[in-house]
Amino acid sequence: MKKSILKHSLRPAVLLCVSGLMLGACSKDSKKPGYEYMPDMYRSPSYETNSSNPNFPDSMTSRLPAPGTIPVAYTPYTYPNTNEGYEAAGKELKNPLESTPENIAEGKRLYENFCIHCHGQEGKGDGMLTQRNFPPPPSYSGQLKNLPEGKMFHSITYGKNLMGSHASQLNAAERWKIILYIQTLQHIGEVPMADSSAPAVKEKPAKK
Amino acid sequence: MTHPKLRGVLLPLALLFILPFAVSAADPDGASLFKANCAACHSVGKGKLVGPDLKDIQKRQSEDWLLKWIKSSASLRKSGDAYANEIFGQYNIEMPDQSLSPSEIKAVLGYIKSEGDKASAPASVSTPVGGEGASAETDSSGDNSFYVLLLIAVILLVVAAVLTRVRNGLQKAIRAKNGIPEPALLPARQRMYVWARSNKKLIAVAIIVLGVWSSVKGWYMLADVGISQGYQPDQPIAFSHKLHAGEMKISCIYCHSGAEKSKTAGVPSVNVCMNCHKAIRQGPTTGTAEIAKIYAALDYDPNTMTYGPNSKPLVWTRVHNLPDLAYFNHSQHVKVGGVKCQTCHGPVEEMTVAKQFAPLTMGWCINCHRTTQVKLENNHYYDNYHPVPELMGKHGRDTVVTVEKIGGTECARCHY
Repeated sequence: MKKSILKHSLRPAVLLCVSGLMLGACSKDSKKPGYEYMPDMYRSPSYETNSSNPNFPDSMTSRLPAPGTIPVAYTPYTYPNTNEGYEAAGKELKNPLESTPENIAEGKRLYENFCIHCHGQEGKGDGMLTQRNFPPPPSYSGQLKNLPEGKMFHSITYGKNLMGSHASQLNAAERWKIILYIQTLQHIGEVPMADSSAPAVKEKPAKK
Repeated sequence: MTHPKLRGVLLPLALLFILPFAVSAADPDGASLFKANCAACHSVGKGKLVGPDLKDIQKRQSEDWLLKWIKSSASLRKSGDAYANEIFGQYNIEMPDQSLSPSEIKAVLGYIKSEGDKASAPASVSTPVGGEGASAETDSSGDNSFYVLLLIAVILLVVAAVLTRVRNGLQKAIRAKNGIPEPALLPARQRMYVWARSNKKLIAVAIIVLGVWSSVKGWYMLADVGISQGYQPDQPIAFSHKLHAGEMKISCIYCHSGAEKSKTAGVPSVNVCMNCHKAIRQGPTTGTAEIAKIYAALDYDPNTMTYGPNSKPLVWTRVHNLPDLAYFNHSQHVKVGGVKCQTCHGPVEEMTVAKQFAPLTMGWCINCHRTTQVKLENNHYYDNYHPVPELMGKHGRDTVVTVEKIGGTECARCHY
């Protein structure tokens, strides 16, 4: 009996192997999302944030506010994107936020998410991207040591030279918090110097 | 007047300040000066950025002119210099006055000249090495293994056919030798019937194996309905998260800045791409081909650095898509909960092509809500939401507050 199974099993065994192989090959295609059960519950007729939209000529669902309207709790930025606007902002524009440790800490966190890539850990213009062909920006504690806060806000809002506008990623309050942190970077390395020189001057008269 | 002791301290101190400058004045380093003062706006041989490309600048202008221009471009312009006014007209931006000494400027000019000579020498084309190439290879070998198996199957079939013919031939020969007459050829259906009767056990085993295998396979196929785990569609631009987030360490939030502020993390608008790609016109693996697609979408001309009127949105293919019957809010998880992006999206910084990492099933959500502890301390979101001691009292001695305990598994939390 065993012999007869061996003898007669060649053809079906081969057929079985081949059919198994073919069916096994019908594995999931990673380029397709797969089947859905009742897609009408999965996908509502409303448009999603980044989906395309046939109702608008540019086919985008994300819209800008209608011209002439101002969103709630939003302060429009009135300085124009020109060299004159930059100078005027530097003279007149002041930070509405106080330089509290909390604001500076939040500014540091935002700086590390949005600025550090080019400006570097200490704002010296030596970020990761400058090692990969991106032109290095000037150092906060060097060329930009005396940059007024209004000019910083203007630059983050509109962009400056090779830096693009970051207004779409950061709201005004976030920009001001980052500026509070940058102001600490402008004087980085100075603080220990001031500390060591101050006692040195004080000590002398004391010894006298 | 000065105390002698004090002078003894002051002199070395003063020297300490003066010496570094004295050294740098004696031997200014053109490369580092260029990097600190010029590189933000000028390249040498890599095209114009904010200002003109400085390659061969010495051939365009005399050193004397360059010295004056670098010292103060505004005053040179006001003196009525034609070329200075022409340059300003082209770029419409004032070059800031540089507080560099003539010897430092000469060092910078020397550096520009040597870099320019390097740039005009035949450039060695860097071949793409690393991640992308390697992963492409593994992909193709995965495809090959199927064809190898298919080839083996075909060869086995041919061998089986040949062996059957040989066996039939031998049987025929034996019958001829022993003088047994050839059996009458039965119709095909009857032959199959005869074969089936003599192979009952084999057929039984085959039916059982096939039945078990297909029900297991079918079960998994049904369980897979509505789950897109592993979905990795092609995108309009071969954007690599591995290169941007992995190697260059750009934070997730930089591009997906909605994740902290809104329901949707958001696909970045092309202006975010341009924050870097205004200057980076060539990628390490795909050259200019993929970056050119950004410029095409924006109708941007990288040579003149100007935007045209015919911009159109890039249509990315969405990878993660929860069914609309479930509500999910990114800011609640990222900002309030402090959940890392990678918890749900996996090691995106290692993905060349973005891929769905988690199953995104309800069971997966609920499991996480049951085990994740809510960060109540120093979390202003919960200041007025649940007085913490009260909550602790409600749950007895159990001080671990999971998402489930503050209602994170209620139906209406996500389905409404």
